[in-house]
Amino acid sequence: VTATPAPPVAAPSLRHRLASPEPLDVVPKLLVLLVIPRGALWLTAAGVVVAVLVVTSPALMRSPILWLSIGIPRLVVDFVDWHGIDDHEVLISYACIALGLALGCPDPARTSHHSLPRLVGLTMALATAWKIGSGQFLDGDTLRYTLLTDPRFDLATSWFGRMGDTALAANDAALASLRDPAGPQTVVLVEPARLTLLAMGLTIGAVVIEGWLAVVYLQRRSSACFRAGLLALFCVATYVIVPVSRFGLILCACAYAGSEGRRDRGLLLGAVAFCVIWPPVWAALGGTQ
Amino acid sequence: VTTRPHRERLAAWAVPTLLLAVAGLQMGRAAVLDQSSYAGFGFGMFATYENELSRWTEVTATMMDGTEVSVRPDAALDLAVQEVPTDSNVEALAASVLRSDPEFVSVHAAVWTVAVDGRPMQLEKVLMVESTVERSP
Repeated sequence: VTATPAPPVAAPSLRHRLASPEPLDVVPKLLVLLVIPRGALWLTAAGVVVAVLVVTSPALMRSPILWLSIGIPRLVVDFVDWHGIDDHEVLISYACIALGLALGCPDPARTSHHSLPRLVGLTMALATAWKIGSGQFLDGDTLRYTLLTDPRFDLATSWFGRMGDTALAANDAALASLRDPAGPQTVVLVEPARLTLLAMGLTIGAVVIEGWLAVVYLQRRSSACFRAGLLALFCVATYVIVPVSRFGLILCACAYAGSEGRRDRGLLLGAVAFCVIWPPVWAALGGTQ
Repeated sequence: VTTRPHRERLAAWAVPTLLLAVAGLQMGRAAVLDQSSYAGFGFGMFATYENELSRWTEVTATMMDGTEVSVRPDAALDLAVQEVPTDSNVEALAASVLRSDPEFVSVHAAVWTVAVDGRPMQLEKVLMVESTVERSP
């Protein structure tokens, strides 16, 4: 008996690889950019050097030890110093560890295809559960309060809510007087009807899209293209109002690990591009981050 | 029989399980300790207005001559008390301010928040927790 040689498998062309980069070529690159430390210049410079080494070395990029040695200490620091650390920072640490564990498996692509998108689904499920159960969100109060008092929303408030600088300043002064021990017990904020409508629209939209994202990323029965499109829509609709771009980037990085084809990858890379490009545009327009 | 599927399953579920466990802990602490939905990695950001914009501390120290001064506490402790406004945390904040200056004979610390009502929005300041710590003779 002679064995029939298997037909040669054609390697994907360079054009195809550029048009639809594989998850394990993209996810580590996105993650390494997100873990560059901020703060002291030397620390950031060291982070940039490490990032360049990782991006240029496929062996390093796919080393489980590298990702576990980045993710675990980062997570320990997050847990020890948890006051004031945003949720998306711990999500970045979780993603590094999940990638490291996947890379240590016999089929890293398959393992990361399951584990990282699951983080997106759980994040959205928890965010939705919080919003439904908090007792402060569904009636619109949280987003009304946020739009009226959080300086990061000032640009959106003035654009979409048609609130002028005078009204914004009056609300800031009212809030400051409330914090003054000699100040009044109650204050009334300037709140145009249009802003109330905006807050209600955002409230309904947030619950619907986040809940939907939770379902599609946990259940994984819908098409990859639909999942990616919904996440891209979420990123654009949310971060155009307040550019928390690192949250958008880590969600897209995790979702990319579960991507399957050219179109869904294109949508996710488009969302990544938006998260990178929009914050400087926002800042140039006078937005606060 | 191969152990490969088990290893892959473990790798695929380990971190999501940790994420859920930490978030569950945060939700429990929020229910019991009034912990802010923004703090503690439970993904409750923007689910409530209980953040540093709606919670603040007031710290007043009484000097040896009886005069009262407003004190700005250590930023990290201040944030911790705002995020988890428990009796023990506010007492620890007052005690730390008392230790910071030998001229202080007592320190009163309080955490305030706002109650939201009506359209247009009306805010009422509400005391969450307070504590007074005195220097032992």
